[in-house]
Amino acid sequence: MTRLRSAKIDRSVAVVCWVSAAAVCATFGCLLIEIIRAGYAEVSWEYLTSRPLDAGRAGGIGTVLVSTVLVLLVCLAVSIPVGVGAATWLSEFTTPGSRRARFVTGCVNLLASVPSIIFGLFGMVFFSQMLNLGISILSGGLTLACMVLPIVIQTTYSGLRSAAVELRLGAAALGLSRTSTLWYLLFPAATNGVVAGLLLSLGRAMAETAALLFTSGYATRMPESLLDSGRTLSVHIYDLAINVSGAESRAYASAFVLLILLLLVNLSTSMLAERWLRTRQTA
Amino acid sequence: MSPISLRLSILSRRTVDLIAGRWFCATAVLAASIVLLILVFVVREASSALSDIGVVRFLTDDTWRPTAGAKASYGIIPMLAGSLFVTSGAVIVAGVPGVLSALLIRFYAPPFLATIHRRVIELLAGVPSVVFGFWGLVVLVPIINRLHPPGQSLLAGILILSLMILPTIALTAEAALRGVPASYSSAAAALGMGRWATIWNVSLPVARRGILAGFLLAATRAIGETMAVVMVCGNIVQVPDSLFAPVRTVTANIAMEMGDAQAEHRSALFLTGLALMVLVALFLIAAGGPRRSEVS
Amino acid sequence: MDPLVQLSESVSGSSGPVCEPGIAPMLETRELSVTYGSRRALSGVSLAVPRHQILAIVGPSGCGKSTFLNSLNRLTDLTPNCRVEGSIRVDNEEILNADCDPMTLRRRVGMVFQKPNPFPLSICRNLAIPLKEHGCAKSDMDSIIEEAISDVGLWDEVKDRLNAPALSLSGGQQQRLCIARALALRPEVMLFDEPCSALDPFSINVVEQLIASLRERVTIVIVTHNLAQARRIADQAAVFWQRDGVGTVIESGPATLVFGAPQDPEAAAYLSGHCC
Repeated sequence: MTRLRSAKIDRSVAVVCWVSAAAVCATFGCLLIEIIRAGYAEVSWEYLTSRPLDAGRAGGIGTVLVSTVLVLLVCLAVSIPVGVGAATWLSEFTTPGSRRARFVTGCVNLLASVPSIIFGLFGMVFFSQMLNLGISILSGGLTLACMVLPIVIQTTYSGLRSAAVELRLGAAALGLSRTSTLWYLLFPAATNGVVAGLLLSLGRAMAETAALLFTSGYATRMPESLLDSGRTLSVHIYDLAINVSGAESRAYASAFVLLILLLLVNLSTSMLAERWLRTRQTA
Repeated sequence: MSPISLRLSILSRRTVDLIAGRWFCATAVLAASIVLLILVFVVREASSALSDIGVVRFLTDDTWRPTAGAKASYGIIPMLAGSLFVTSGAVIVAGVPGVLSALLIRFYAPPFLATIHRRVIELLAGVPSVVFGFWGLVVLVPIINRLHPPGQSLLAGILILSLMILPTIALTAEAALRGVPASYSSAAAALGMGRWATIWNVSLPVARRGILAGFLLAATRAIGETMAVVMVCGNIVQVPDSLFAPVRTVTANIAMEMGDAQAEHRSALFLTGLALMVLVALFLIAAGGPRRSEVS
Repeated sequence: MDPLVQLSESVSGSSGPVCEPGIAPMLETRELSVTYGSRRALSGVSLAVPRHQILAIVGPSGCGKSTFLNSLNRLTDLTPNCRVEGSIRVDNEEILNADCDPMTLRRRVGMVFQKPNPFPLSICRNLAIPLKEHGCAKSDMDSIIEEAISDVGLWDEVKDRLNAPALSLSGGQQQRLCIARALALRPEVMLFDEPCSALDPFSINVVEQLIASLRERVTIVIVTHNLAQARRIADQAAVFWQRDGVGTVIESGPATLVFGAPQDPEAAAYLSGHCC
């Protein structure tokens, strides 16, 4: 009796699962198709290389792409060394579970939970005003670096931890110094983690808008230095969609470009993860 | 190789170790200090609003009109209500399909389709919020507008946000279900329990804590979200009286007004930022500690 | 004379009068005790190994044999909250003093682990990195590497693929590579922590003979579960036992006496196989 009922429920749950999953996928599909359909037609080489005109209603996104790349470069140039360093300290230079280690880990985990608009406020006060960097690509990049730091620390840390204990013991038993052990053995083992962190940070930073509104700003001209303001692609989409009337098709095109770029980053992340898994199995 | 060169090299190795240790320690201190700096600066900027306007007015003024000079009012309750309505709505809407997706991946789909579904959800998690917002603005809002004008509404915010946080719920629930020891379900199977009976009586109860934590993490993400809600919620300061009424969230308010805010107004905006951080902190405490960064 | 040997003698010679081999032990512990936090793992261990002899340590699992071995090259430093008390003298030099550099000590006291642990690098780099670390000149490197690999009988097997990954070797080959890696640093003492227990029977034989032959060059401490092996190769022997949760030595001395006529009843039972 109950078995039969249970089997009936099981079948209905299965159906509900499939239907809801299909609904989710279909909605996502709609979103993708809509952006691709309307965006693809607008994108051309000309669009990708020329500067925006008439507040973005005409022209292209050339200068926007340059600003985006510069912001991302600043972000990674700061977050990777600091993040790798902090992860190395946590993993190799302090006792896991000690009060100092717990404090740093706690702070980093808290940082991961801070909403991006708060990063924007902080970047505006600290980098733009207090450090006098102004509304600039540098301020924006540094703000994003703070935001992605927990990602870099987390992935590098797990990369370092994936190196076997025997490796460390073996190195210590041969009288290798900590620095040599890191350089010859642990950093090579953690490369995958660092690269994963880099790609994830890249994706997160590229998608970010709120943290950049008041730090790197809206300027559309070609940036001449890191102290110039420059809008990133995501800020451009926001501006076109909200502040500029009659630029919808251009916003589609920019969204299309942003999605393609993010897709490339995500694809390389999962390809890396797969390769990583394979080499681990053969090792 | 002479004894002397060896001595020297050992000395320098020790120095190198020391310098490297100092450098790594410095980066760790820097990383840890950022979150403290953020707190310090937000509090510092909000302090003049706290002392000149006072918390009471923020909680009792009935609307938000900070630029009205002498008649300025600073009520943040409507915006807090907006944030909470949008967030709780999104968690409710995304919760069921999120957990169902996890069940599908874990129990019902053949491995090949399960992997594909997982991939799709991971891709969904990678879509930037500004694209969600834009899509909501050009596709979803017109549809809602046909049902009940104006379209830009609490409902639009809830639907877009639920799409954004669904991956968080689905992936944490899937991880929690994966964490259930296989011996439990095989024990259940050995007792002759069917698939659904096993899921309902064994897997879900054991994974409950992880799944709930996923809900709360999704809530922190939703309440901190800015771009998508700015674009689809209509941004009118009011406690919404229906799903179709426009609302303005705390985050949207900051994004819209910070650009040209001065003096008191600016400080008041930082105070709303502080209020947002307090809300996030409450969610985190409820979820049982701060979240690990979103990397498996 | 070989530069590394010369070096080690000049280092040890500086610490006190040189003793005649065979009289002063090469390695000596007095009242050694090790605690992890509040838990005592080892207590009152006093053992001595004469130069160029093999000390075999036997005893049931969990009686502190590995802890003892790890304290001899201060690998215990790596464990947080681990405290080592008493005295350990290597060639008459107290190594628990603060001014003893653990990195130099670990060159003088080599160690081979239970599970072969070559670095995930090429065969050649496995030896080159530690050598470089200890200041070996580039010009000497190749000859020292070849000599060390030949010493463990691996040269003919790997000479054509020195740049192949060390992890592509078989288990027994990996373990011999690890021994070569330690030997290349010209240690005075070698510690073996159950070096054969992860190997196949054929490799066990090869590695065991290799260890026995090394006694001409280094002083050896080996932990083993294999009593027959201990009988075959040991000059000195010690039986570790757990008393009230703390590891200690219940029987020690020349191997013939320990294995032939053990005094302690528990040791006698253990060595005759009537226990556990």
